[in-house]
Amino acid sequence: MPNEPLRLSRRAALTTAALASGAVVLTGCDDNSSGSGTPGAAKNSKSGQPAEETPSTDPVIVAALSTAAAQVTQLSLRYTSVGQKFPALRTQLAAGAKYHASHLARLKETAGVQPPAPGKLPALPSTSAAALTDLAKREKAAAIAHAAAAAKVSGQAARLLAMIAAAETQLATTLTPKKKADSE
Amino acid sequence: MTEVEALQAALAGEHAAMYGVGVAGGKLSGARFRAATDMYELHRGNRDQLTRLVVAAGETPVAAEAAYDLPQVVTNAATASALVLLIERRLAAVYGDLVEAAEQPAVRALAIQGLLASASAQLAWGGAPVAFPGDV
Repeated sequence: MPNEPLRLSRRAALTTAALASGAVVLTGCDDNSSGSGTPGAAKNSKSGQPAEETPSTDPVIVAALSTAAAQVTQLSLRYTSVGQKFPALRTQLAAGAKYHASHLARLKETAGVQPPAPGKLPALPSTSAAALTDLAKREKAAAIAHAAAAAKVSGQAARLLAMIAAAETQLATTLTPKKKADSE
Repeated sequence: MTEVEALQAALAGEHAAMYGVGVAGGKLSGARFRAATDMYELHRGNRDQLTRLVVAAGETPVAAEAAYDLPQVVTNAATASALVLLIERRLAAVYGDLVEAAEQPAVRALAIQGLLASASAQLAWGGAPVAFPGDV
């Protein structure tokens, strides 16, 4: 449907981008189109329910998602450990801890995905600032790994891994100490 | 959604993003203006890459609209930044769709980079982290 986005009036796209709730409306896609967005992903993400269609048991996908689940589990444990050692950081760590729990839950929705038991965590840095910097580095490394993993699979698994990588990119940024702001 | 449909949707999104960022830039100054200029160039590069991929798929790239209605009046730096943030959130979802629909590695790689860039840009324009950037 190469001309599909043109079916809207000429000045419609940005209006719908902001006002409608659909995700792809920025593009000017037809709001009535059942092809707007990705049906499976949309249903799953909104309801938080397991996929309606038969979960993939493709061993490549299961392996990729299991590896990601293991990495996310390690990150979650790291957040917990840092929060225990440096209670003053708990508020700052809350979002990341929560999001990684969501990531793990979504990864486990695919049949067969089960992260291995986590290994021993590396020692924590001795100061809270160093612990934050360390977490930021681990988030960045995870983002790179999950983006690379997303590139090697397809479909909903690729999207899930890419979204997790995007979240980790955001978390790495928020955990990184701010540089002095540019002068306006 | 097929790969070509998702490519066209992403291309249409980049057309709209360039328009919106251009409007926002008119109300910004200093570092924010420079950031908007960088953002505009980034979107132009994405638009060109998407156009090439659509052409390579044997389709005619979707054209930009002459103008777009803005979702809100852009009167100052705050509303301009809010517009850019909204654009980046919408683009993240469009690129999420493209990641999912991609069949060719080059398309998937571009889509992943687009999603990551949009997620980062959201923070730069006043957004907060979310669990699943690009989710719908």
